[in-house]
Amino acid sequence: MIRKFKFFFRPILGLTKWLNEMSDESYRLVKIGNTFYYFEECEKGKFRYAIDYVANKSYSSLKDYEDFLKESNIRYIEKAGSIGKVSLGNVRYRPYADSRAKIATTDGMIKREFLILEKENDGKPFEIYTNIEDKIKTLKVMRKPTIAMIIFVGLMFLFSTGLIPQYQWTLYKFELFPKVNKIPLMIIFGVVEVLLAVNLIRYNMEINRLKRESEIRE
Amino acid sequence: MKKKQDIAPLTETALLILLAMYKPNHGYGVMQFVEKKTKGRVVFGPGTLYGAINNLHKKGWISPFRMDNGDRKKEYMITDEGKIQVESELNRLKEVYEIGIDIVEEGGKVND
Repeated sequence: MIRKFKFFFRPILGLTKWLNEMSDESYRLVKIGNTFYYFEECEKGKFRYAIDYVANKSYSSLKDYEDFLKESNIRYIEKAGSIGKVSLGNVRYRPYADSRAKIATTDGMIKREFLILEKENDGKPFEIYTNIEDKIKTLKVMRKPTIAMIIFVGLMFLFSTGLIPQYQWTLYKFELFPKVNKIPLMIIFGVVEVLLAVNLIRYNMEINRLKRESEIRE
Repeated sequence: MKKKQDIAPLTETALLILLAMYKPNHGYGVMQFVEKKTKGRVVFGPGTLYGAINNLHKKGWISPFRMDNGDRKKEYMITDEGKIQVESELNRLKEVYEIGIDIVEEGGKVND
């Protein structure tokens, strides 16, 4: 068994691509730990992977969905989300979830934001959602962390410019970036913000293309 | 007489699932039935199929079917209401098909 560490800027697309490449290099995903992905050797290209976002499902409907996958000969591995969320002790804020699931506190749902689905390679691309309506829904879900990040990084950028007054409490003054040269920070936040914006525009263009398509095709 | 929205056109996904459930069938069986019958043209993704089966169940067009054969897979079967939907959809498709075939076979001389 080998283990690998990997971080993805685009958690769903990046991870899917990487897992399929690993399979092509004869490695099958076994499990996901807190930090590492664990692989075992397999036949070259034997498995295909796809990732489903499930944090907006309730615990019982997630279990029902997992039963369905099992019956359909699809293996699944639960994965915690790792971007666009803030953890504080055992409370987890998920800006990209549906409103009711935004704050996860129970262990039941806290580590199950994504399902990694695995099936044997039949030569066709592995898609979880195959009609246009579902594809639009999926893209909207994938767009959410980008929107959350744009707001967060945008605020950081504004703070780093020092142009807006920092938050001040009665007891002490809270300064986010005290006594540091603010120019490099501004550049970093600015560049990341632009990259995020490009990402958002790509999602929007694809969603709009599918919406036009859905008026004439199923 | 049915209300109008109850006999609105079905999606291809819904129609194929309903047809696959004229006999008791589970999700994986539906997937295989559809892939075989359409010769691989239509392949349902598991997320789409799961969502569609749940919606058809909520509508009452399919209902859970229990068999005591030790197989724990969740099976469904089409209901009478589901059959009405399929029949009216087939009539609609026939109508559209006949309009289409008349025009296409005349070599496209629609405006003569």
